Amino acid sequence: MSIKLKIVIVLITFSILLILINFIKRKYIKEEYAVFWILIGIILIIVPIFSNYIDKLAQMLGIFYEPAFIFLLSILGILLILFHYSIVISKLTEQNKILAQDLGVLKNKLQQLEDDEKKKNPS
Amino acid sequence: MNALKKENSDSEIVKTLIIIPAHNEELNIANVIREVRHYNPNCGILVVNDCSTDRTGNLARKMNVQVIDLPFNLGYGGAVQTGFKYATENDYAIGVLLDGDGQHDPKYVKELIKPIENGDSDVVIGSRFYTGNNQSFKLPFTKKIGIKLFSNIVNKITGKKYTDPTSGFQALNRKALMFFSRDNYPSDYPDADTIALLNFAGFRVLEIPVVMRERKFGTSMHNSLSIIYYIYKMFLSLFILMLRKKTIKKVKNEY
Repeated sequence: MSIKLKIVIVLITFSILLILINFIKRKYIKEEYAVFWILIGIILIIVPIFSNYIDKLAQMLGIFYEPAFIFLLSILGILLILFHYSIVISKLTEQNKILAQDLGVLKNKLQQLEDDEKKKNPS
Repeated sequence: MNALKKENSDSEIVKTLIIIPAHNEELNIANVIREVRHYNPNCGILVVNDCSTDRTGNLARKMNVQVIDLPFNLGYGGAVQTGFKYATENDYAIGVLLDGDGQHDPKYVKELIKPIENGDSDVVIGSRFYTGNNQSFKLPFTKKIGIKLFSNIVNKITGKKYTDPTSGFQALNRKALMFFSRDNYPSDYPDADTIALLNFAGFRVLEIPVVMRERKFGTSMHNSLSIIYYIYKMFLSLFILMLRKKTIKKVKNEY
């Protein structure tokens, strides 16, 4: 991998990490949803720096074009994030459903109480 | 609850709740309620209005039944589960599901409830295809094959015989209502997988023959369900159910 490419990757990743941390600071992103972003960020900084070892690892796996190994790592990281989102969305959907149902039941109960009250005090 | 007791003052206790999930059924709902009341004067009636954009909710309210309006569309399963929650919270012993489109004839409610009242069964399903029931029900060909395929699979898994797992005409006792109030109910359509789940959890599920009618007005919700998605969903959920089989806890008899 050329030194230029390494610098570019590290710089881009570093700036994305900075933006991410700024967003967490401003509470645009919750800490628990930043976990995998930070993980990917750290990996993408470490890999170019220790590229000698990474090269060997890549070659052991039969990958002879080093940037392809970085792509592979990035894609795996993105899949991880998407997977995490599927879990989060499923949980939110379920909680949303429960809220809607309980709201419906409670509104019915409130209406009931109001009607009872009206019957008792017709004024 | 109080109002319900007043409404049915001729009986001592209101034990049975008829749950009618309805989504845009303004043309059918009044007739359905009228018929339900005619055949079952002592039952509580709850209409779960699944965020209809027409007058379904208001019409039901005018008929002096309990109405729950959902704040947004939850789909059939979500609406039905709301009814189960209402039933368990208000101490009903039996819940009967009856669609708001008039396909389910309320005169069969008594027959659905009977096995539960006798303590012979926990869940009773009204079947269109039960042997001896020579009704030729008009269904799309693909749907018919789907029902046949998945009821065969469920029969293999459970070792029992079910002919109409997609039927939404069901009666459930309190134990089953509690079970489904928690988190065991599918959010779209209860189907063969629900019946298998009930069996694995130790419920006694019985099928009895009923005659269903063609809906009078409007379009069926099932039309929008594509057959490919249906087959995918059933295979996946039956597969997952088989994986979970050992971890499903048997229900206890007390509740």
